[in-house]
Amino acid sequence: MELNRPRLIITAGIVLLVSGILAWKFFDAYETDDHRVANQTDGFLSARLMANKFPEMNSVSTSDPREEKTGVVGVVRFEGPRPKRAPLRLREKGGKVSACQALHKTPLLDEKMMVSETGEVANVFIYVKKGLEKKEYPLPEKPAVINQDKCMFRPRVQGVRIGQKFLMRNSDPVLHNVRSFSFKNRAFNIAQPADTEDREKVFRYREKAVMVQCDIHPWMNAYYFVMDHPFFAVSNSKGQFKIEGLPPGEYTLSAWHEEFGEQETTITVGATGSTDVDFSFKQKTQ
Amino acid sequence: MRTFAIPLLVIASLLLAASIGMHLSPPSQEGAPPASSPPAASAPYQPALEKDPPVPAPPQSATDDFTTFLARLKVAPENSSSSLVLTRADREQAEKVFRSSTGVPEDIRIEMHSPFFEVDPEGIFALYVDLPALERGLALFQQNCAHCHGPFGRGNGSSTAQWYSGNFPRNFNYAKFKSRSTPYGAVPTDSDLFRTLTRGLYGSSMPSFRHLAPQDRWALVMFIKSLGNFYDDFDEVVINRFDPEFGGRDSQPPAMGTEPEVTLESVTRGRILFIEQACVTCHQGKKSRPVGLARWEGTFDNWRDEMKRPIRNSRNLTNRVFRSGAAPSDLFRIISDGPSIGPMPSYRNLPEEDRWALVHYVTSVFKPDYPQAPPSADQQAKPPKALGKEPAEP
Repeated sequence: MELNRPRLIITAGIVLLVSGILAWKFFDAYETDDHRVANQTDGFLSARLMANKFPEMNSVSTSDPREEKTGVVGVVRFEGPRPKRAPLRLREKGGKVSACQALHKTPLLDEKMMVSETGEVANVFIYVKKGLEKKEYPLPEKPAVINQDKCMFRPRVQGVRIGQKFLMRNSDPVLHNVRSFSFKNRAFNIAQPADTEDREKVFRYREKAVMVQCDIHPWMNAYYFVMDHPFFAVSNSKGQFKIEGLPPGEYTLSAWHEEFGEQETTITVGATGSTDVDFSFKQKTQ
Repeated sequence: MRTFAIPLLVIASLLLAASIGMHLSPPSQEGAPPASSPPAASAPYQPALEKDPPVPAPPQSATDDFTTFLARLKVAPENSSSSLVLTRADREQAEKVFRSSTGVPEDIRIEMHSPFFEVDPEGIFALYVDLPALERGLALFQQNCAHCHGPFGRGNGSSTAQWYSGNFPRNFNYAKFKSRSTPYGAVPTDSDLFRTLTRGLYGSSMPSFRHLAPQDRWALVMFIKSLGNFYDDFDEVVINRFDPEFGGRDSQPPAMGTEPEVTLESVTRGRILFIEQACVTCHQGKKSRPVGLARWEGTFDNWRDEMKRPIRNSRNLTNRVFRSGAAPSDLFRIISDGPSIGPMPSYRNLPEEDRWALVHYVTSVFKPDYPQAPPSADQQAKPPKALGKEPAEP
């Protein structure tokens, strides 16, 4: 039979329509939002506007611990140009904008290197490494708390005592999990849906710099040290720290920062029980 | 009408193929009745996997050799000729070799104080002198295992350079294992390691080593245990994570009760819990289809294993590929204690009947002859208020 053009066109049209419907039903690739990462520029623009301001750091205290002149006090400084803090991209699975974005009006900045305008380093963990006699120090009554607040772990760096309760709290309306990467103490991974009660852990062995991470929100992490004595401190936003109650003697003091590494120094605490010590960090050459 | 016969035939066959295709995909749960009646109440489902032969006891010589190795490890720091801790330069060299032989992205930093770069493996091997089980284990490892697990058990064997799948071989220096019967973060028992060697890990690249004699498999188990060392900064000693003094409390499997019977109520309760406990966050993919929850795999960009290699996606619960086994007891263990590697948490705080309900729901997803939970049950999912407490560590 001869070619009937209109019939052919109608047939081709119907076949294309049917295959289009089938493709829409079966091929998911057309509907994912992997490649559509929304709002790529909003974070950067407001970050430039905010670059001159020092953002609120509710993980670090701003009070000056050097008001009373007892104990080992000091400042942690930074040599070199102030490291820039990149704005955090609050993205989750497959590049989707996280629900955490709604909790932040101003962009969140990266907390790995918090150096103030005058060159002081926050979130440095200072502790007595050697020189203490082995004895049982009384435990604090209050538990150590790690709070998942506005999609950040607060505080970022803290010390926990052996036998002290370590509470994990979720103050957010989203699911978080607390995963610890410890080796001496038993590691744990606890999922905490929103509005659930605090979860508790107790540690047995002293351990250095255990990282804690949330697997749902890639930017969330924190560190804790498990200590067998109370002589440690975390530097505040002005780099200041104080360790009090050290009996007179010679000690090795160590300062740890997650990016800049660790430094040690020996100090001598006199009869008054106080001394002054400063640390200075540089950018790691890597 | 006859002029349209052939085009109509084409369209009809296309539509027929489409309708057959739609019915071949996993069954829609919207109002579909179960294919057959649920299993009888008195006989819970027992898959053939449960009938694995019991693990034989390890030969006494092998356990004695491992104990001697631990004793030598303790006194090693005093022996200055065998330094077990690598210098920083050696660690950087080890990291270079490691990166060039396995798939860690260049911009990901592997911590220099990671336990698997701090202890000198050749110093550890030097402690095996006159310990036949460990020496045999070392020889067998280099023959059978090193092409995937690397010459020092770091998981960077030469084969892994081309793997992309996201299931990389374990790093034994880390001493964390997924397929075990002990709590989260704890080391496995000896029989767990023996069972993994015997069974292999279904769905991964780890084969079965049933062809090796049992004493050879035990030698490998002892060798693998001897690789799990890390350097303690505070006390400045090298500790083996299988040391009973240190991790002895960990090697006790928690008690597992008997499985309750499988009913529509338990499967439905499992489905509700699956939403309440937020399992859907990771075990549901980008598209939520009416086929049901737990069908697709999900992935987060930051998921990495202990060596910072990407984990591509969470387990697909619909195709019955579970590395530690698909039996109800295996699923119960994984839900209770988690895999210890990767993002999956442990849910030991949930009451036992809740965990069995989750096991029943997950099994119903890949076993169509289980009762199927109706999707209308999703409305009953409430936010979990009282979660229960984990048992205290012994």
